Amino acid sequence: MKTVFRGKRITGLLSVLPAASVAFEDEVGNYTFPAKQTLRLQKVMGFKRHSIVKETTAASDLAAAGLACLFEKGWLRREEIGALVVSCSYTDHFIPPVSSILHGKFDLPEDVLCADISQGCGGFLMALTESFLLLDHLEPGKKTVAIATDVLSKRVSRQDRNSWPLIGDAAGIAVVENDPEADGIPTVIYNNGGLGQALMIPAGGSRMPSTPETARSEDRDGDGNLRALDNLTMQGADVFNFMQTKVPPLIEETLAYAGLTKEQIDWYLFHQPNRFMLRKLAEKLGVPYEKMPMNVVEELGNSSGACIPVCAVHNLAEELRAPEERTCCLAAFGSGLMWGAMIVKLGGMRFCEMLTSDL
Amino acid sequence: MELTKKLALLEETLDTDEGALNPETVLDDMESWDSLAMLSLIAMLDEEFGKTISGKELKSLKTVADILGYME
Repeated sequence: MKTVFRGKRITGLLSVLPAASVAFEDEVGNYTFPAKQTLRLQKVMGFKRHSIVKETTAASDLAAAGLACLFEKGWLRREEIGALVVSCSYTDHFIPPVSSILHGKFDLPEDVLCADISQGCGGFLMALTESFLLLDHLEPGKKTVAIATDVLSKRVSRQDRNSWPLIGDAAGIAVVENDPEADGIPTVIYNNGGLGQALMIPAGGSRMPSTPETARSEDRDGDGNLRALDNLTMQGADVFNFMQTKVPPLIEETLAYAGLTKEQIDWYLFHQPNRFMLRKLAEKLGVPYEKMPMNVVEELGNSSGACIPVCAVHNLAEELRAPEERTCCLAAFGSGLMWGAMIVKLGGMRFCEMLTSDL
Repeated sequence: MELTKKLALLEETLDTDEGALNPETVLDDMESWDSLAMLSLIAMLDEEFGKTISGKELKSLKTVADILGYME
């Protein structure tokens, strides 16, 4: 899809992190690899800590903590909400949807449209896209709430050194409004479903229901990583290849479509796979590291669809509350496989905050 | 690129000692041949030689000579 969304504005961002943060050093013994080798991985990838939910926390809990904060601070009123769009891959239940669970928890008006999107890394971009579309059909003055929330740490094997050190849990919430004065938002999104197996959770759905057999952990790829079919599996080399091949041309295309040069972009707020991959992307694009924050995985973990709002709030909270607008290039890439970019002016936000919750 | 230069580049990419590699070196015998080394190799082949190597191709590599085949 290639389009320009007109008359839409992101007026606030809130990200929610669980309180527990686990240090990489404390988990070196989880893996079957020699400690020396694992510590070398840490050096290159920059792993320090990652924020992980408690056993009892579900995806909606992080989003609910965020919404409760918005209502309490007066940054959003229940009656202003026209639609609630939630992207989540590891939902509370198969039924009901996370958006409905949140609707019930906050006793929202019955005319609020609730929609879940099953997306991983592209979650925030997809929730924004849906929100922009819905805003054209809501009563004047109504807002949409775009949420990306996930607790994928619960589906990653702690003995899988490919994925465990980088996984994190978080929710990102954006309030999106109509604003006739807002600049257009050029957006380009691609998909290649044929590559989907590079990032998947094989069991637990209708194709392969969970059984004691799918819960059994073993070295499935002969590479020393132990995981079950119920766990997330990532073909790291294939995902890296995909990212390196697809993302730079996507950014070039989106910039050309927007009529902007790379230098005119103030911030490249990308999905956060890890520092190594983001550095390679910055180098390929010829963008200075300073313009592309890449500290999320090492300090908080990769929270899948929530990465972009977490990255924005973690690095730019004060700047995005200031009145001047910044030209930002958002980009997501991952499960699907999908890759997409959006150029949007961010600034003058009513709120741009990080909330840490005891979840 | 000469063989010695290629080997030096590979030693840097795979984080091994200078002079540690020769075409006969068996990858699985190297302690540093892991998922990180594979990502570094993908990046190097892309940057230096404009080559893409798939996960399947990576897994089929047995010796340094197999990698040298891509460095052209």
